[in-house]
Amino acid sequence: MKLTSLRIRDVRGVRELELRPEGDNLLVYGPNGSGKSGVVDALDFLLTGRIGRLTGPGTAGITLQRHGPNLMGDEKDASVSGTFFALRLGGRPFTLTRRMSRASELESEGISENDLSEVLSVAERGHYLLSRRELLNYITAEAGTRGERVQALLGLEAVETTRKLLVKTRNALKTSLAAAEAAVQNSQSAVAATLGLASYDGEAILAQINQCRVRLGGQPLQIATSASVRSTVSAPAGRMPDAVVSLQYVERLCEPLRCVLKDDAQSEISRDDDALRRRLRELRLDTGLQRQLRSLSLVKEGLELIDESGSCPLCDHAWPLGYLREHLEEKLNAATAAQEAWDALHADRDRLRGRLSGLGPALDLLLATARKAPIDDAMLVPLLTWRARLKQLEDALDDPISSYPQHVPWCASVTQSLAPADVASALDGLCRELQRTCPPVSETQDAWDVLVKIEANLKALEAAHDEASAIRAPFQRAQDLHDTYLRQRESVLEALYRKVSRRFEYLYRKLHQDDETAFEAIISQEKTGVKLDVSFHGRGLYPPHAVHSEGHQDSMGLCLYLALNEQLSAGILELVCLDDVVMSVDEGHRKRLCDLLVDEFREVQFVITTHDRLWASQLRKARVVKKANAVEFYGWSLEAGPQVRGADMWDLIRTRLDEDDVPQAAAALRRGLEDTCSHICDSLGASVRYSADGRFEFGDFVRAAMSRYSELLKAGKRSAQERGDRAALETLQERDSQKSRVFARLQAEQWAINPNVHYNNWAQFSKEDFAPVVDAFHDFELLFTCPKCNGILQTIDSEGEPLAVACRCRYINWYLSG
Amino acid sequence: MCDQRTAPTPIPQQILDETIEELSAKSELPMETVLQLRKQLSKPDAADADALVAILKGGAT
Repeated sequence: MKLTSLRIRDVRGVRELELRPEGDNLLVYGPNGSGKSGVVDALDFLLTGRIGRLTGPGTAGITLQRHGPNLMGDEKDASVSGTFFALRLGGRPFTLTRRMSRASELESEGISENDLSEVLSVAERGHYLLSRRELLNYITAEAGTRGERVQALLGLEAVETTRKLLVKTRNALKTSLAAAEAAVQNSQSAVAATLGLASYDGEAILAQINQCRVRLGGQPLQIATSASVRSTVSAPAGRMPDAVVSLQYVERLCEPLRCVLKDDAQSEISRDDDALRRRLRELRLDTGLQRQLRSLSLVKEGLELIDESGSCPLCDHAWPLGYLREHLEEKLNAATAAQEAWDALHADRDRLRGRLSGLGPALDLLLATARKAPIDDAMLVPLLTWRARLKQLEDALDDPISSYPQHVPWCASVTQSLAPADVASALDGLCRELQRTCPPVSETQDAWDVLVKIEANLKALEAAHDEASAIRAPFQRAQDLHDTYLRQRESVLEALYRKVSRRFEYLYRKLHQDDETAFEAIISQEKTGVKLDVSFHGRGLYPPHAVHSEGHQDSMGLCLYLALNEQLSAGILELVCLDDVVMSVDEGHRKRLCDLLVDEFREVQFVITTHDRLWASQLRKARVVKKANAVEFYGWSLEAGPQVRGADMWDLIRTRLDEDDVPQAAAALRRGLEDTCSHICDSLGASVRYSADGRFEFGDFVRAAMSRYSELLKAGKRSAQERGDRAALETLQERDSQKSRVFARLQAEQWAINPNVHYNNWAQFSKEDFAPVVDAFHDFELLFTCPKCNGILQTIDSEGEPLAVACRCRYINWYLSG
Repeated sequence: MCDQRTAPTPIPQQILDETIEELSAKSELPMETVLQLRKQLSKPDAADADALVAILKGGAT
């Protein structure tokens, strides 16, 4: 998309302005404070609905609503309208208009919503605008800041949004899977407890089920399922109601509880408890390690708590997107000693926790069963206390560093909490009381009751298994999706960075062909930033701001931006605004930059602003900008905004003459000729008398240009003769005659702009005196200019020797050697 | 007057395309699921994790 015309009304410092670049490059130049930035701001506003200059650091209290419209204008009238065309869309013109009063609404005409949204998404990422401030962000900033800028251009916020979405999705399924797997474990514990087993053991469970089935006259099963556990067996005759408590069942529930009270179990528990306690004591004495462990724990928790904002979950400090996560992950990797201590501690903890695993469910079932019997609740108090202590111990083992008791207030040791002194007698007492108060249950009745309970347990277990299985596959898919996305992100970005690096190198080498022909650049992802290393005269790779001069850094920033922009917006938004970006680039490299813009970016429309007249002149002379598209803002007033004039030197001089302002016309002529002739001398390799102070009078340039032109013409004629090229010879002879006529007129008129006359006696000149001088020098300039491409003639050199004289389009091209 | 060059695919779209292509090559992921994922992830701002969970479980449209 390119800009045909731009109409600005009452925006920023501009009152009323229309620019018509007609799809070609546009130059706006003028001194500071002349309103140039108003053009950039207006374009920014039109394409994005905001003005970048009014946002960001240091702009507190500045708003688009208050500071966007011109102070002298009516806010209702403040608007920007642009006519564009896009070759990709068939070249049809379309118009975009945005008003300050409704900044979020873009009025469009002649373009579909889809096509427009594509363009706007590119504009939104800031592809079209490179300012001095932005330029520095590519080079001198930290990798993270550069990363943010580059990532904004690449639209990587959307990639980060997707990544977070995938992480959130995976975590949601992970949480569901963990819950489902916990449900499986609980169901398994319930099965084990029902059968009086300390832990879930498939073979032992099948054996007990088959024992019950045989008692009921059934066949043993190979596999026990909820559907098969009671198949082909029937309830015994004269079965008692379900509410009756089976003493056998109670005894089975008591079995794992009694096991843990036995001496050998107690000594194992004591040993595991000692090991854990010892480990904790060592840790608690090592304050450094303890701190590291706490930090490790905090980091792990912190990683889970980082939300989409990327801010610190502890202090709300805003981190650059993704940076905190990377930082914490790095800390985790670095904490090897702490991680080893953490793993050893958790191994000790898990061993002890394994001893507890079957007790809780068995005790819960026992208490639930006992409550059905007609016994005094006081008998259950020791068991309830035990259950509460076990729960406390389970909770303490979740976070042993903080919670596992070193000095236990509620019992002397873990052994006691696992086996309080009164528990064994409480269990015996409960069984005796149940025997006394509950009617006996037959073996077949007991077998039937066990199968009924196991059937329910297995149903719950199967449901839990089904639930876990149903989540395991989606979780694996979510994990695959996440991993694949990250892998592809790396792959796509790596390929892009490689491509951009090569292009960046090429552009920079071309710009600095005198001193950096072997320039190399490596762009790579670093954490969430973008790392840039560049070579320095074959002495290795450095960050771009480490050893290169400020001017070289500016060149790098510009080349990197152009290389990136080219990859990302070509064919969509071929409009690039360079807002005063060559401040530190010297004159010679600016000239090469002109060539670079013309040669390498033919499809791009540049809108260039500068306060530097020399750069403006170079842009015109190198035909980066057509004369008609070079707009000078030569002043500014509150009432009228920028004072604008077209930049054609000859039009300007003639305007001054028409106004009878000879002094101004003479000044413009002198300044313009110095400028033009310096370019001519440079392009043709003319020898200008050396001046140590670097100040040249335009007469120095004129004489050198005339002399060089004569030499080159002479060499050209000789070459044409030697080659027998009659047509070329005739053309050059005609050019020679023309030269003689123009030079003769110059000799005649040069008195008029002699400095002595010029500086002291301007007032005595009349318009009639000065007009022939202007005409003579205009014809002089035309001698060096191609009538077709308007480019200045230049020598085509090989190994320092001129081979030909040609213009950019080669309409003029004469050989200098045989 | 038509420009023959094609506009570059935006980077986020490129990454998504490559991801979907790799996932499609894995036979265990049904094509229907792949298509639903592409649709959801094409506009990540509008997508939510619940919808993605439903798609990955194979029961969403």
